[in-house]
Amino acid sequence: MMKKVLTTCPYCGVGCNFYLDVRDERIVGVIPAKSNPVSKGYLCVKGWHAHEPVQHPDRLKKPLLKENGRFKEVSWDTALDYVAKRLKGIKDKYGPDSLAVCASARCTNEENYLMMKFARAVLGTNNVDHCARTCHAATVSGLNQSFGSGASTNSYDELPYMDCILIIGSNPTEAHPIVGWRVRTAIDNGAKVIVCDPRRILPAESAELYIQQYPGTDIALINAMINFILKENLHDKEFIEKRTEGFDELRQAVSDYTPESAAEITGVEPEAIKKAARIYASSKKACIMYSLGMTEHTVGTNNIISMANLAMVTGHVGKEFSGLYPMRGQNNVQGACDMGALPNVFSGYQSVTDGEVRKKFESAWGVKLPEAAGLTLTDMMFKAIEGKLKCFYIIGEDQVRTDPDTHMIERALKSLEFLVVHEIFLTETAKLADVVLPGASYAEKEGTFTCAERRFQRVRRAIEPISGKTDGDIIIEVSKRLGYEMESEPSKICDEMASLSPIYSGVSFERIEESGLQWPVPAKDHPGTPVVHLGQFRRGLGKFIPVTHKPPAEVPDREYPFILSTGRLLFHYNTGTMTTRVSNLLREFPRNFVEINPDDAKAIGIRSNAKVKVVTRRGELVVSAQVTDKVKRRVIWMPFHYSNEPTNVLTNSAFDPVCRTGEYKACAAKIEKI
Amino acid sequence: MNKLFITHEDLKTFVEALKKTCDEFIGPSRQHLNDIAFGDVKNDGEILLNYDGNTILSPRTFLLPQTETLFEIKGSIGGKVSSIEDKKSRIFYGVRPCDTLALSLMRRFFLEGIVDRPYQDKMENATFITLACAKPCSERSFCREIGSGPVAKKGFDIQLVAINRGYLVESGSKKGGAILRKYKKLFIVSTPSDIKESKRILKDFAKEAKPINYKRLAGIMRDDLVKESVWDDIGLRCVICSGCITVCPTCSCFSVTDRMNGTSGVRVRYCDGCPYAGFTRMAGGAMPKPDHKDHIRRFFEHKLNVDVERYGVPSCVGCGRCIETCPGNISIRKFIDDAMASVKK
Repeated sequence: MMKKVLTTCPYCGVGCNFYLDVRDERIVGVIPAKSNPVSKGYLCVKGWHAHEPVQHPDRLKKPLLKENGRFKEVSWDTALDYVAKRLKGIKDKYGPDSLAVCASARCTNEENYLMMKFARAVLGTNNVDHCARTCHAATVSGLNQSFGSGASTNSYDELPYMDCILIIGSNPTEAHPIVGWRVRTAIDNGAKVIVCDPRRILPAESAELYIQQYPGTDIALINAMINFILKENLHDKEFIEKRTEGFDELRQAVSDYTPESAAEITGVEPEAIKKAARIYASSKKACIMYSLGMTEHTVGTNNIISMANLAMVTGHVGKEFSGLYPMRGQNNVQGACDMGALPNVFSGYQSVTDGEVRKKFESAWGVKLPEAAGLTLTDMMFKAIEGKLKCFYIIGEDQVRTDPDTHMIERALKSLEFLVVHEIFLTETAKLADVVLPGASYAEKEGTFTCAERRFQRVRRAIEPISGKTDGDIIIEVSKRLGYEMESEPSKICDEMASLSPIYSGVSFERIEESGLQWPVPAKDHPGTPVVHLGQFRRGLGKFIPVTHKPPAEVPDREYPFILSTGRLLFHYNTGTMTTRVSNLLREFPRNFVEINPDDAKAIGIRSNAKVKVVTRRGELVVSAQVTDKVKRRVIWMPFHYSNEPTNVLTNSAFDPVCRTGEYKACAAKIEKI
Repeated sequence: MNKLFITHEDLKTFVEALKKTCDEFIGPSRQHLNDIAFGDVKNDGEILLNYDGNTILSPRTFLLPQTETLFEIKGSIGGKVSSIEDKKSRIFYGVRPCDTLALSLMRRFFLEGIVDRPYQDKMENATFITLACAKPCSERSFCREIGSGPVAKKGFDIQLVAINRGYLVESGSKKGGAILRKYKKLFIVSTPSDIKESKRILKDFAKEAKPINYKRLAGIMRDDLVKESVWDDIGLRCVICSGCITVCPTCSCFSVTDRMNGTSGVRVRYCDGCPYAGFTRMAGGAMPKPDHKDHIRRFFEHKLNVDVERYGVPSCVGCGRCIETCPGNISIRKFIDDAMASVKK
């Protein structure tokens, strides 16, 4: 039997579509979907191999229960009964807020909706969060303050027609390749691309201008651009007058940031800052593309606000061919946020502290809901160490390898009384669990993902769940054992979600069948919203919020003279549980490494491929050195994909005070020759 | 040879009859919106007897799938290995002339000299019915210029050329001839006006096409006369998606790996090729060609130079699929022009 199942790629947040080529229940390949508005027949190397991990022999097939420190395979009933019993026991003994749920940016919208409903309606706590905390929480909090909506302002298809694309802290070629294709097309169409990145990434080679700032100095760079734009009278006075508020405070705040004074902080020539400012401000159609290089800092939220300020000063937002493009890292991290897998909001960003909203959900769900906002993922870890959090229910996330400061995370998870993990492979986090429930991959479930341009798209089942159950099925069964019945049909879960969330009111499986829908979709006949803030910002007037440079929590010193920054490679995805199981992908980059500038390498006395020890205040790791001028002096860079050589033992868990995202992108390190 | 003719209605009958003679009838079928892909229309989906454009992937995906299990492994020492054979009989319908030429080149690669058994098994049980093109399938294809279309010259068992009142039919092999004889009641001899009509359609198709002097091109490449800037540009564009080697109807490279669960499992072969650094990286990390641009050059050299020497024709058949799927906007068609125009002094 042969079939082709159209679905959405499970890797980054771009949202490409392809057909899974299924023959006799084996998925043998992928066929790109030319008809898809996001990917149009293009795929990256991960997408072309997305079928391979699905039926890998390492997949978990049966529930695992830990007894005397060792896992044994048990039946679904045994595992689910045990989980339900323990959850109830802990809730009764310590109260609902001693439990927490980590939802999953890898799962569908419908599953995330069930997870947040499970936390709130069944466990009775708002302690629900997910990995957006470690990536784009700053976008949600920053853009929400400036514009009133925390997602991408515009759509992918505007990119090829831009006159200027300012790429800052984002590597589209490697991390979001099919958006990278649109950047490539824009360059081919004559657009001027400005790349600002501590690392000389591939787009820098074709850029009009490349700026190599030090990690953690972005506000100084952007404020200096605004300063120069105002000085040269390049700002959009009409836009500022009609569409914004707080301009005088901004003008005041940036007055200290001349290109010359910023040069000292950023390590960038004043002329380059001026040139960047001039190109961006004087282009007719200009946008900013950014991702974790901006968000994963202790000043993450302010970084985002500074870009919103820059866009508003020049009038490059709130219309077609402009705006801010936060490139989301995971297939459904946008959706997991949208579905309310966050401690402070229900689906559709409706506040849990708003009595009216709560009443609406209470009457729909037939239960009393908790009133206070819950814990963020960051704080859950601290509370676990303090002993206040007793139980953690994690779905499809490997905190031990993805969160900063691994040793601290391990300590937190080991402090728990009870840890449940849904996983498809036995990750480092799953190894610490009391019960591991085998989840299903994207190819085994029906549902939707929402990509970085706010587009809901269908995910379709190609093969039956390998473990017999999807993550949604598991949640429903645990919930049932705790005395609460939930809808199990994905399209009906979507309908329930839409009925309770005004910005997704018009979303249904039927309507997204053909080409998806971009939210807000406030009504059944609303066509969706490719460009947000047209004519008016979601919050009314766009708000200028003055922000100032603050160095990273840890800066280089005599003992730790380097700034360590981390990021993604094209060939791997996060902790590599899937990509390291694809031969072609693993072979390209099989081991961890550290990039170091040739001058620094010479000073230490090392050559490429030499083993070195990278040391920070939190840990150390032996990896091979890659000597390259991609990074400048005093900066080193490492990927974080390797579970057996985990970079996050080195990174700093210092976090942004607003969005509580850790500072992966800058910490102090030293390199020892061995 | 005299061409036969079949009406639209009788073609339906012919196809229905053929479906009964094979395990899988692989034909073009419409997927989501305008996507067209080959599928088993005997058991699932509806066949497009005639269609515009081309299928997203070529028939290669059935003869050399992206991943293919070769044999089963049971037990480690003294264990048993049993081959997984695919001897299903398949009739491929609606194969385009470019893909038909690709099949004859692939046949030579896999079946002459060292024989690739899994490929041979499938080819021996396959019948190919080609459907000539009435109009260019996309802006990116260049079959007429490279000499692979709009009508196949060889490599098919049966070829159909669509005209207004039905199809002209010819056989290209003994197997094809036998099939036509078996169903001879469905065919009549074509009229001179049918032939005239088909010639006009094909002439219109190729109106502005100028043949590529691929022998001259191969010479330029062999003598390393292409300007370095052309290769530099390609090197900066390629983002190593591997799309080109996966969609190419004449890419034949693969690697093997064992998918083991304890001591039992399968050996799998999977599509591999030029763009990957790891494809030619040697022990200790040594790279014969360390620059990325040279990896894509390897792809172009193989298609446009080495194979011209080996087969007398390039193994780029001008289908344009690699151009349509390249996130770096690399075009082998543009490369051909650039290479011919930019010869080093």
